[in-house]
Amino acid sequence: MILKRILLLFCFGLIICTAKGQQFVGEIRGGVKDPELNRVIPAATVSVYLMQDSSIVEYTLTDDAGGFKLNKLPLKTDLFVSASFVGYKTKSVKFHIKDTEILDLGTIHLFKDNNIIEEVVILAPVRMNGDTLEFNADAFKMDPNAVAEDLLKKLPGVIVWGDGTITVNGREISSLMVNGKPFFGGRTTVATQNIAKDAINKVQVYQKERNSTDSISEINIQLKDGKSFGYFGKAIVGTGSTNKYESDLNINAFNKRTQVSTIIGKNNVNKESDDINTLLEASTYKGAQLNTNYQTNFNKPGETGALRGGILLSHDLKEYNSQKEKNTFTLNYLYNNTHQDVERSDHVLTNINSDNIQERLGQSLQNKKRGLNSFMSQYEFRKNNVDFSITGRLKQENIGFTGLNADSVQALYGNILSRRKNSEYNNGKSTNAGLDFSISHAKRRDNETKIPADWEIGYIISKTNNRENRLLESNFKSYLDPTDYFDVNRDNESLIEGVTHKLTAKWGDFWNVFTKRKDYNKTLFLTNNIELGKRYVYDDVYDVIEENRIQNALLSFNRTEHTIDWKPGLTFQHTFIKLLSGRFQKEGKLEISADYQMFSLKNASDRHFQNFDRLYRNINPSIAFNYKNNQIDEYVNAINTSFHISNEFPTVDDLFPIVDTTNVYGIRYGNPDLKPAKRKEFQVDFSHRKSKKTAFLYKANLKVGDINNFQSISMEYDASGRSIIKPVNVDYHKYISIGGNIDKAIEFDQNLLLLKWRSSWTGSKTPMYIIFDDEVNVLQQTTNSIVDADVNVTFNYKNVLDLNANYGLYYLHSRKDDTNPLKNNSHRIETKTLFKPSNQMTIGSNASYYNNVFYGTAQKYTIWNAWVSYRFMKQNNLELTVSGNDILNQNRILNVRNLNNVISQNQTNSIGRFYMVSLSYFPRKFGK
Amino acid sequence: MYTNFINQKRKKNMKEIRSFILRAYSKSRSQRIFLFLFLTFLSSLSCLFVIGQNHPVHKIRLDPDNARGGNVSDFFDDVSFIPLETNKESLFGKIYQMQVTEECLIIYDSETYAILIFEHNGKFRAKINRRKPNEYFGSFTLNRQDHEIILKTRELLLFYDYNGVFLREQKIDLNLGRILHLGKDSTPRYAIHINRPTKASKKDSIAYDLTFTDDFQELTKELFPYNSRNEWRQYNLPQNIFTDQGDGTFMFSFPYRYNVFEMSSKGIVQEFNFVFPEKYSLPFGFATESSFAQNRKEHIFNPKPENYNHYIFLGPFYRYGDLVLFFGDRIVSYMSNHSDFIYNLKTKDTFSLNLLMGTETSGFMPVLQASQSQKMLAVYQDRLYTSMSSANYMRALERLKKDGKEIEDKLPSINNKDNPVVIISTFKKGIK
Repeated sequence: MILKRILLLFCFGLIICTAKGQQFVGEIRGGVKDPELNRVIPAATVSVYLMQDSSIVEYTLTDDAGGFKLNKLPLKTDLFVSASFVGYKTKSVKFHIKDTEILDLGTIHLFKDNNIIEEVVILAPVRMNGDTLEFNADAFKMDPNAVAEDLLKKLPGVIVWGDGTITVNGREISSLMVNGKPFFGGRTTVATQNIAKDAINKVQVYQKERNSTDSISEINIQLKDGKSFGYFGKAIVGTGSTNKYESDLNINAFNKRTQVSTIIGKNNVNKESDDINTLLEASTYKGAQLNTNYQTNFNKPGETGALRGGILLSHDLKEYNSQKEKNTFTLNYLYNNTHQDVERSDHVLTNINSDNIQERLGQSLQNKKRGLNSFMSQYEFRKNNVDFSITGRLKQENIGFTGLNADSVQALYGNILSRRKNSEYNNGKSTNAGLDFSISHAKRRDNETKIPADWEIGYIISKTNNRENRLLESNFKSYLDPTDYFDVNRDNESLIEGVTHKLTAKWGDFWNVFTKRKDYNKTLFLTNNIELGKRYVYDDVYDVIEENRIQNALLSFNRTEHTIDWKPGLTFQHTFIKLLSGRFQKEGKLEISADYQMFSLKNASDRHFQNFDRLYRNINPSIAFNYKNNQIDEYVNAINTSFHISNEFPTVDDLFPIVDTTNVYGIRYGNPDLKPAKRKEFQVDFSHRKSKKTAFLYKANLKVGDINNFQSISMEYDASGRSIIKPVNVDYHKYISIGGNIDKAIEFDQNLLLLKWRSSWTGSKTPMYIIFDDEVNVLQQTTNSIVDADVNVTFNYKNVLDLNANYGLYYLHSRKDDTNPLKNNSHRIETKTLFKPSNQMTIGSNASYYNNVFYGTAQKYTIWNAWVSYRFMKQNNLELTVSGNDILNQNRILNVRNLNNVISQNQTNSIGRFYMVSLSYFPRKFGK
Repeated sequence: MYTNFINQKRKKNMKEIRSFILRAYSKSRSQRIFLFLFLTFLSSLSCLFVIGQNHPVHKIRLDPDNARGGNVSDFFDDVSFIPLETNKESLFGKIYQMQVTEECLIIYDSETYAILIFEHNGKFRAKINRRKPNEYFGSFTLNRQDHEIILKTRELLLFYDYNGVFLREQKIDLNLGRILHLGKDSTPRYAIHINRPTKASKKDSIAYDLTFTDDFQELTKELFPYNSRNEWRQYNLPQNIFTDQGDGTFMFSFPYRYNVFEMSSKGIVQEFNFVFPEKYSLPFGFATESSFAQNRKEHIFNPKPENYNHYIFLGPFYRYGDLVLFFGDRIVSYMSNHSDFIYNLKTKDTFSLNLLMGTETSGFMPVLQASQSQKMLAVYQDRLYTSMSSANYMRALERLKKDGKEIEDKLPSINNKDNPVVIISTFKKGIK
C-alpha cells in the first residue's frame, strides 16, 4: 500500500513537472558584425538577460556568418541581449517579445577597443578559446551558496547523473580537474559539491586527446585568482532513539601545490567505509543526494559502530601546469575501528537425489570487532617520455570474533537427523606491507637508434604476517545413531608469514628492428612476469580436556611453501586506422600474445604427507581484437573480442590439507591426484553510443568459457546429514553469461529524465559427484542459471525535485540430472525522493520493498526512511536534520544464493528503527 | 644519406672553396661565425646564380586582426558549387592537394592514398591507386605540356595521363623529397625540396633546402644552404612548399620563414616578405639561427599558450595580378581559423576570405567557412578553387533554410556522406 502511494506520487510529480515546463516560446535572431572592418564576427557570445535582475536567460555563440538565434525566451518580459567578443566593446540591446513571434534584431555592431584587457572583458557566459569551450561562472547568476555542480547542470550538453557521473554530449568525461589537477583524490563529487560557484573563474570543456576525432572530454574548473586556496569541510553531531549517535569532523584545505584532508568520526548507525575518498564524498557541502555511498546501510547485517580517523595529503614538489608533467607526493592514512553485532538464521536445501532433499536450519549470534590502520604513500614523477612512481603500503588489522551457532539437519519436512552447537572466539592480527615501484620510458619517434627503447619495469614486494588465536567449543549429535557424537574444546594458535616478489617487465619495439622499413602500425614486445613467493604456515592446536591442554598432533603442523610463477612472453600488436574526413574513423587493433608459464610449488612440512614438489609447464596463448567505428556526428560503435587460455593450479590445501572433522556440515578433504585446470574463455562486448547532446548508450556482452580438468567437488552425505567435500577433477565446466545495459537521458526545458537498464543472465554446467550414505559414486551434472536485472528511472525537475525509482530482479534456478529444480527469486522495488522547496530546506524519503521467494515460500518487507533538513546562517553553513530510519521497524536483511545442488537463504538483523536529530556545520572559505 | 648524395653531386669549385675554408678554420670557435657569414654569402650568391639579377622584394606588413571582411560579390562575379561524384570507386576523404588543368580537376587524398581525377562538372573520370600497400607518394606534380601526372615514390617516378592510365616509370637514384615539374622545356626540369636529414652531421657541412635537376642523376643547381651540423630533421614540416599556378609560374616558401618566392623556369622572379605583429611571429632568427636548432621542436610541438598563434608556414600561396592569396598555418592548427588572406599589393588592404559574407552571387553561401581551418586549393586562370566537406555544406544549407533564405538552383542537394563539394569562384573582372 505504501509502495503504491509512493509510486503514485512519483508519477504525479512527473505529470506536474512536465506540464509546468511549457512557458518559454519567444525567439530572437540577428547578426554580429564589425562595421569598421566590414566583417562578420563568428563565435561571438550573444546572451539574453532579464532587465529586472540581469539574470541570464539564454546564450549562444554566433555561427560562421556571424548569425545567432535564441529561443525559449519568456514573452511579455523586458529583456536585453548582449553581444561580446575578445577585443571589442560589449554592446547591449533592449527588447520585448509581445507574443509568440520571431523577433529580428538585425545586425549588432561591435567596435574594437584595444584598451580592454581580455580577462576583464570576458563576462559573457560562453566563448570558444581555441578548441576549448569556456563558460564564465560569473555570467550565471545563481544562489550565492551554489556549488560547482549547480553551475555544471546549467551548461548545455552537460549532464550530472544521479551517481555523480558527468557526461558531455552523451559521453562520460574521463576526469574532472581543478586548476588542471585532480582535486582531493580525484573523486568528481568532492570537487563539484564543495567548490563554491563564486570561487570559479571558468569551466573549460575540451577533448583530452586533441588530435583524435573521438577522444574523451575532460572538464577543468579554473578557480579565480586569489581563490586557489581555501578550506571546506563538515562537522556533524547527532543523537537518536535507542542510544544511536553519530559524529564526524572533516576539514580539507588546499592551495596551489598542497591539498590536505583530515577526518575523524564515531557512530553506531551502520555508516562505515574503509575508503577515505568515500568519507570525503559523504561530507560535501551540497549535502543530501539521491545516491550516496556513505549513509546508514540497511543492507549491512547487524548493528555496526565505527570510530575512525584519517588524513589525505597531496603535495606537488614542484609547481607545474601541464598534465605532461608530474612531481607529486601523496599520503593516505586511515584508522577505522568497528564493532558489529549480528543475529543470523540460515536455511539451506541440499538436493541429494530425486527423493532426498536435506534441509539445514541454523541460528547464530556473532560479535565482530575490527581495528584497521591503513597507510599509503606515493611519489609520482612524469617528464618528457619518462614516468616513474614508487608506492609504499601498510595495512594492519586487529580482528576479534565471538560467535554462538546452533544448526541442525533434517530431511525436508521430516525428522531431525543431527545437530551441532559451536561457540567460537577468535583473536587475530594481520599486517600487510608492500612497496610498489614502476618506471617506464617511451622512445621518441625521432630517435633513430636501432635498440628498442620503449620499456616498462615494475617491481612489487609484499610482506604478510597473520596471527590468530582461536578457541572453539563444538558438539555434535546424531539422532539416528546415539553413539555418533562428539564434544571438542579446542585452543589453537596459527601464524602465516609470507613474502612475495613480483617483477614485471616489457621491452620493445622489436618489429622495427627486424624489418627494413618503419612501420608504426606493428609492434613486437618482449614481456617477462615473475612472481616468487615464500610462505611459512604454522598451526599449534590443543584439545582442552578437563582443563588440561593436550596438543592435537593430527591438526598441529608447520610448513614452508615456495612458489615460482614465471611467464616470459611475446606480444605482437597490429593497429590500423581508416578514415574519411568528416565522415568516419575506423580503428582496429589486433593483439596476439603467448607466454610460456612455469609454475613451481615446493612444500616442506613437519607432516610428511605435506612434503611434495610440483612443477607445471604450459603455453598460454591469447588473441584480442578491438574495433571502433566512429561515424562522425552520428554514432560510435565499438566491439572488443578476446580469447585466452590460462591455467589454475591446485594449492596445498586442495592437495594435502590438514583435515578438521569438527566442521561436520562441510569437512574438507584433499586430493593428491588433482591436475591443473585449463580455462579457455571467449569474450565479446559491443557498445553503441549516439553522438548527440543527450546521452544514449547501449552495451551488450557475451562471455563463454570451458574449463578442462575443472576442479569440481565430490559431496558425500551420510544419513545424519554430515557432509564431506573433496576436490576432484572433472572433464569440463561450461559457463556462459550474456548481459546488456541501456542508458538514456531525455532533457526537456530545464528537466531531466534519466533511464538506466541493466540485465544479465549467467548459466553454467558443472559435473560433480554426490554420494549418499555409501551409495555408488555417480557423476552428475548440475545446471545453474541466474538472471539479474535492474531498471532505474530518475527524474530531475529544475533542481527542486529529484525522483528515482528502481526495480531489481534476482532469479536463481538450479537443477541436477535426476531431480526437480530448486528455485529462488528476489524482487526489489526502491523509490527515492528529494524535494527542495527552498535553498534551506530538503525533504527526503526512500523506501525499499523486498519480496524474496525461497523454494516457494515468499517473505516481504519494506525499509522506509524519511528525513527533513533545514539550513541556517547566511552561507547555509548550519544544517539541522531530523530523520526516521526503518520507520516500519522491519529490521532484517534477506539474501539468497545457489551453488550447484545447494540453495540457501539467510536472514540477519539490521539496525532497526531509530529516530535521529543531527546538527551539521560546514566551514568553508575560498580565498581570503 | 641526403647530405652524402648532395655532396657527391656538388659542383667541384664550390666544394673546393668550402673545403679550403673549413680546413682553415677547423676546431676554431670563430669557425661557426665565419661559416654563418659564408652561408649567408653563399645563399645570396645562389639566388643570383639562378635568376641572374636581383629580384623585386615586396615587403608586406599584415595584421590578421585587422583583416577586412566584405561580401563575396566584392571579389567574385560568379560562384558555383560542384559536388564531386560519389560512388564506390570515387569515394575519398579530404582534398589534400588539388591542381586544375584545362581538362580536369586532379586531387590527392592522403587518407585513401589515391589520386582522383574529376571533370570540371564533378563527374568522376579516373582514379590512381597505390600499386602495392607500401608504395607512398605524398603529393603529385604535373607536366602540363604533355598532360602527365607525375608521382614520386622512394625509387621511382611514375607517369600517368589525365585519364589515370599508367604511361611509364623512371628509376631515380635516391629519394630526395618533394618534387615540382617546372615545365617540359625548362632547364632544369625539376625542383626538389630536400627534407633535412634524420641526423645532424658530426662536423660542419653545407647542405641545401632546394635543389634542381633534369634527370635525377645530377643536381644542376642548389639554393638555400644550411649547416647540417646544426640543422637536421627537427626543422621539417609535412607541408608541400610548392604551389603550381598553372601558368608556368610557381610559388614556394619554407617552414618558419615569412618570405615567399615566385619562380618561373628562368628562376626566381619576385619575393614577398611578410611581417606579422609580434603575437603572430616566431622569434627572430627562429628558422636560421643555430641557437634555435635544439629547442625548435619543443617550441612547435609542445607550445606554450602564448605561442599558439605563431605562423609556422605560409602556403599554399597564389598571386592573381596584384592580389596575393595565401593560407597561414599556425603552431596550433585549430587557431588557424580565418587565416586565408587576400592581400592587395597596390592598396595594401588585407581581407580574410573566410569572413566574406555570402551574397546572391554565391547563393548566400561563403566560399570558405569561418569555423574551419581550411586552405585554398588552387587559383587557375580567373578562378579560385576552394572546397567544403559534404557534412558542412549540408549544415550550411540547413542554416540558410532556417534563416528563411530560398535555396537557389546553384546549391545542389547532396548526402552528408558524399565527397566534398568544390567551390569555383570566378574573380571579378578588372580586380587584377
